[in-house]
Amino acid sequence: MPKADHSAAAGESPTFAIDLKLDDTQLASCIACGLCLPHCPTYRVTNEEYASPRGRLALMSAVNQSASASQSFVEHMEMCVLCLGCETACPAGVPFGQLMEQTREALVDIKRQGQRRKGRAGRKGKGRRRKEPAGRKRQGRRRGAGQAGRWQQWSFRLLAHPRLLRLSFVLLGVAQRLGIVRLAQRIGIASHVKLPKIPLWQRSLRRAKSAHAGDRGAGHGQVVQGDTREQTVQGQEARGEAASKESETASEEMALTAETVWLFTGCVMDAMMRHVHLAAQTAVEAVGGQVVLPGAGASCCGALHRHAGLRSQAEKLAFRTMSAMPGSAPILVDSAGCGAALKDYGSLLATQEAEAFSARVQDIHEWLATKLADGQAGNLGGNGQGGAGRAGSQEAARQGGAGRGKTEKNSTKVAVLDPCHLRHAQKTHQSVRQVLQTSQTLLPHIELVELDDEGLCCGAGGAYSLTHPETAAAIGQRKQEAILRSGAQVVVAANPGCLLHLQEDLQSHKIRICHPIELLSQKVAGRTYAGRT
Amino acid sequence: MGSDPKKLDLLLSDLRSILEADRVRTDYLERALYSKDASLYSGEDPTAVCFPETTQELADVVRICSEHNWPFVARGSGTGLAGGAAPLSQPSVPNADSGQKAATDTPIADTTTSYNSPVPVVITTTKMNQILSVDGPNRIAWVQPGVLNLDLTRHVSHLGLHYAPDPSSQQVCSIGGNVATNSGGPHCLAYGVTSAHVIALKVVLPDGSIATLGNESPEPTGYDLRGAFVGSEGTLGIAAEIAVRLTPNPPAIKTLLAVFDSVSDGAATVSGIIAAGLVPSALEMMDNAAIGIVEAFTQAGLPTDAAAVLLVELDGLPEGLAQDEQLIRQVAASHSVREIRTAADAQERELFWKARKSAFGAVSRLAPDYYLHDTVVPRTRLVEVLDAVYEIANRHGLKVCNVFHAGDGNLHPLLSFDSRQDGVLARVALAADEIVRASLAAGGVLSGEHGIGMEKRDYMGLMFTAADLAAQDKLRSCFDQKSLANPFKVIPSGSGCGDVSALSSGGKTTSGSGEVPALNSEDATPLSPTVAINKPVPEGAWI
Repeated sequence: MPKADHSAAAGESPTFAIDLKLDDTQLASCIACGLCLPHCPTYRVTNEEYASPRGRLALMSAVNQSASASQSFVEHMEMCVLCLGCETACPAGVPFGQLMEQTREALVDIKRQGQRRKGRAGRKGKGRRRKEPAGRKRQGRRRGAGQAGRWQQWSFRLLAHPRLLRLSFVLLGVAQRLGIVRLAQRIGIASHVKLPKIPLWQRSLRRAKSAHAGDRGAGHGQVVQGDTREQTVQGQEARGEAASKESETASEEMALTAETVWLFTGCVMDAMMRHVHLAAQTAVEAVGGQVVLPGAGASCCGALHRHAGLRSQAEKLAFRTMSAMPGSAPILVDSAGCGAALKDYGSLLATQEAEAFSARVQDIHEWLATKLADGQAGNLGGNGQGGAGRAGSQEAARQGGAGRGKTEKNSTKVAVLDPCHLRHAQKTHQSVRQVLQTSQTLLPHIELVELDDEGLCCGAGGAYSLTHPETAAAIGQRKQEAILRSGAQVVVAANPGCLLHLQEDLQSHKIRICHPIELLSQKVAGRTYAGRT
Repeated sequence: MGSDPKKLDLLLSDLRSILEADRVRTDYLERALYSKDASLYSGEDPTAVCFPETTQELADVVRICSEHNWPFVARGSGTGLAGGAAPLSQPSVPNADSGQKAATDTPIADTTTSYNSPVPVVITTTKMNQILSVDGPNRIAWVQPGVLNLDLTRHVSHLGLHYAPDPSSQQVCSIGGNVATNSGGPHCLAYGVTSAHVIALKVVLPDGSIATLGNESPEPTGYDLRGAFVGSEGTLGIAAEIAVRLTPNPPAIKTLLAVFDSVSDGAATVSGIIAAGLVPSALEMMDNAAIGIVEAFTQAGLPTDAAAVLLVELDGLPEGLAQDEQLIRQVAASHSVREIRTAADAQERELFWKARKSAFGAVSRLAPDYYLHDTVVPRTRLVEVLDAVYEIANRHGLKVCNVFHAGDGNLHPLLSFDSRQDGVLARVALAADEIVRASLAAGGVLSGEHGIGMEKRDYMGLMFTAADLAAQDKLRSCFDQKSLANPFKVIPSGSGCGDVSALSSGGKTTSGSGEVPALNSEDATPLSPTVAINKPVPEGAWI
């Protein structure tokens, strides 16, 4: 044990025993070439080895061998966003994500067993020293990993309870409007967390009227209009049960039409960004599909739990999600993070059933791109004289200022921001471009532009922007600079985390950010990208 | 590695008075991360890791180290392949299990000698990553050493310019590291290596003073210390600000992929192209094993059944390119080329290059460890040296693939192995040793672009006479009188490193004396006590 010799060198943290149970061969497959470094968001903002995939693998390797770790090891492991940019960049094919998840599982086990040495009191300087090296100024309280664990576990549990979650969001939204949140942040509570404006009211999704998708058409927006119940919070809470009953009948009908698809609704996405689900529904219907909603069972995919090392919770949620969407119909996901998680159930649960389920999962753009390529453009490829359908989001209408008043010849530059879980995990990020390009007849005044940062993460990372606000902000800053360099007026991102994380900053530059599917559906519904025609 | 705890505390508190505590790291886990670079060579865990952000901070850190007589090692992105940035407190490689030298027939150094030297502080330049100024009309940029090579090119691309030296690791390697090793890259065949693109440097000398070497004028007066500094591997000081030449993007580019059924046909084509009076901007070769592994990673559509492919890039005016391409097709045809493909668009071209440049990382798909060699041989003798490389690897039961800058004759045999197997490291070391000797015997040199570092230090005696080495050591001593900057690298121990020589002869450290032990330039015997010379190396070896 070399530790004893080194402890003289000041700032050492106490060690505790841990068995990471990592596979030696997988660890050894890293040859330390360093090609992952520039593709790691935390390395890019810290320029430090411990915040790089290469460094993390070396640390894992050291701890795996010595079976003992220190608090700084825990911090280094928690600092990873798990964007998987390194996996895409790695010529050696190191399964970094898997190793990191296993490491976090082991750390959670240690926390649970309460085996962690105390002695934190003696390390006052330590915690301050570099929790968030990205932020030059260190202020406020530092959390220990243990506290974060409890906080995370508590809030992650909430995700699986849609009614409670929505209620919490509404309360938070009210507090936000009353200025309580600002006050709390001013006195130092979660002062670095950027909270997007939380909607108090959301339109509900249109329920599947029948398994027959026939009666859509030019005016489909109106057709479904009658089906739409505007809901208060209470109404929304009732939805879960109604939908779950519905899903049973729907699944029976689904065998009848191949065009019927599940739309996975999820937790935060449904509680805060239901307008994206509505837009997705519009887009699916526009190409002749029919959306069926899962019940409350599919209220959380478990991705955040898994990334945090809470494997058993992730597994429970996976089982719940799978049973909420039976049958063989495709499962469409409009959140890249959830999509990646659902596609990974096969390896999480390692059952044939899970593998079959994962094989049905598609990102909504992936599914639409296939339809469009098959010539089934429907309303997405033709004219979008949809009329009065209010499928577009209130958010989009509100933010329309950026492009308003533009004539068709002055095309609007739209930058496609690739969510990491679409680009690096699912590797289907091109489908977003395919969908937007194929719909050029619909969106003639849009010019797609690329960001020059090779898909570097924006720092949202699921709960990362809440657990590591300073680092997340520094990473977001890089993304914002790339967006400004591109000259884009609109940014599209197919993941709620990225949308919420960047929203506020981009607004201050009068750049609109929305889900790509919103651009499409607004046009279908007779609007331009920027508002009503 | 006797470092007095009191001395250590004093050093650390002085360093922390300059940098925030946050930028002087001593955690054992973190220090271990800075003990090695991308090669197999592992040094020791540094005493501390410092992260200066400005020239002044860098100078202050070096000055403090110098005041405390504490050695230091500069480090960029840590992508070196010769152990150049690995901290050493003694000449021998401490953990022999991960270095090959221990297994060679000749010991590295007299390990009985006690070197009372502390483990160096690592000074990392990664946070010095600002592009200070870009002068478009004069095509000069001043950058900090931590700027990544490809980031610089991206930063100036809107001006129609790029930074020409493009090592395979260009997306991650830093300009400072490029300067230290005088890096090459595929396009250095036509454009020249790093030295040709560094105009001036503001450097921190090993005593902490700041000096400017070279200047922006085309014909600088005085000694060319800039030239001496580039490629000095951190032994003459640390570059703090670097003025680099920016190169205009060529008006047209054509990338050809020539497929061969035998390696020797490919190699003969390389010589043929140059002999025909053509200097392509890049001329790269991959053998069958290399094609297989990169194709698995990149899916660039390379022919995995080919014995070798040549990647030839032409640039210039579009009119000239067609003619050049014709010439290349003729030469290749005369060496029974199977087919020649042209990259259809920029995307395919990028894919070809991605395939070429990811080879050294993708090699771990063969086996978990690799040893990437770097020697240069005359182009005309490529075939025979390649044959020797295959024979050597075969004899030692090692997998080898070759992916290299054929135009320069810069070989990169990649030995692939699993270090967990018993005795494999010894075989790798023997093979590596034989490859170096075979290259030198063919009139080649030790290193094309990776530098000497730890890896080739003890081979210097094969290349240079005692007088040659003494001259180099004298230069080093002029810059670094206390031998604090990246000690035990580049020049073999025993060839005159100030304090080391003194210690081995029982004396005290000759700190500050700047005295170089007398070396008899007439002495024909090799200087290095550690390397036995088996084969004579021709005078003024081929470059």
